[in-house]
Amino acid sequence: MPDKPRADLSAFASALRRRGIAPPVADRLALEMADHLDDVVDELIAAGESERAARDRALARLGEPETLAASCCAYSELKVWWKRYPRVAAFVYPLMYVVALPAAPVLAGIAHRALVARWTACLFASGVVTSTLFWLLTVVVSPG
Amino acid sequence: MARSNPPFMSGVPELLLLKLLDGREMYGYELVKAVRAATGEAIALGEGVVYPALHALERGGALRSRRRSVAGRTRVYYTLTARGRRRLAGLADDWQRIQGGVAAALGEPSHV
Repeated sequence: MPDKPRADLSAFASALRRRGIAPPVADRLALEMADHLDDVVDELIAAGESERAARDRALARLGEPETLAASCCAYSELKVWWKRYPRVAAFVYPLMYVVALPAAPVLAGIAHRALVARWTACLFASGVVTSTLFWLLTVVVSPG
Repeated sequence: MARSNPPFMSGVPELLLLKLLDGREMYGYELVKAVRAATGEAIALGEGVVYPALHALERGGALRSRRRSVAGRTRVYYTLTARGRRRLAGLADDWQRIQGGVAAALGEPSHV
């Protein structure tokens, strides 16, 4: 038996994420809502409706993705932590930036250590050459 | 006919879902229908209430879920845990106390 077309509930999942629902929860809610929709469609078909009419009616019964997502947001434990504790996030995030800013060049250096080593070797070599030239110049030009 | 959930319904969806799941494994759509049937159509919980409530109860350790394929259809089934049973007992006690208090207040004449 061919698979029935499933309702695209990506708009619902996106609306949930925009409202701060954690992405894995949003994806599972959308999946369960699609299962639910299939059950409603099956029930309406069993009651005598055509598949098309049943699907349209089931979708209409479910409501607009934004409205449905809004009603799903009553449980704060389903949200990402910075939406659950916005005051803590307002303190933690700037602090993280203060720590991350000086660490950023160090971490970038570690990530590109081969390039940094090459540049360091070049700078060292040019320093040695320049010092040698200065030394030679001092020896040649000195009156004694 | 079932009406939308008024503000004093706080905690009722959890209580009903835990009660219905006490004894047997059920999935979301089945629970939506079971709530209507069990309450004599007095309470109809919408999809936007049932699924988030199930997720929240699962997060709190009151429920366990598993995805199961039955007759070519895949669904998420929920079962009550030991913690869920304790939560159900607590919520049921709270509800009995509130219900008794409201019934007493409605049944008795005003003290004024």
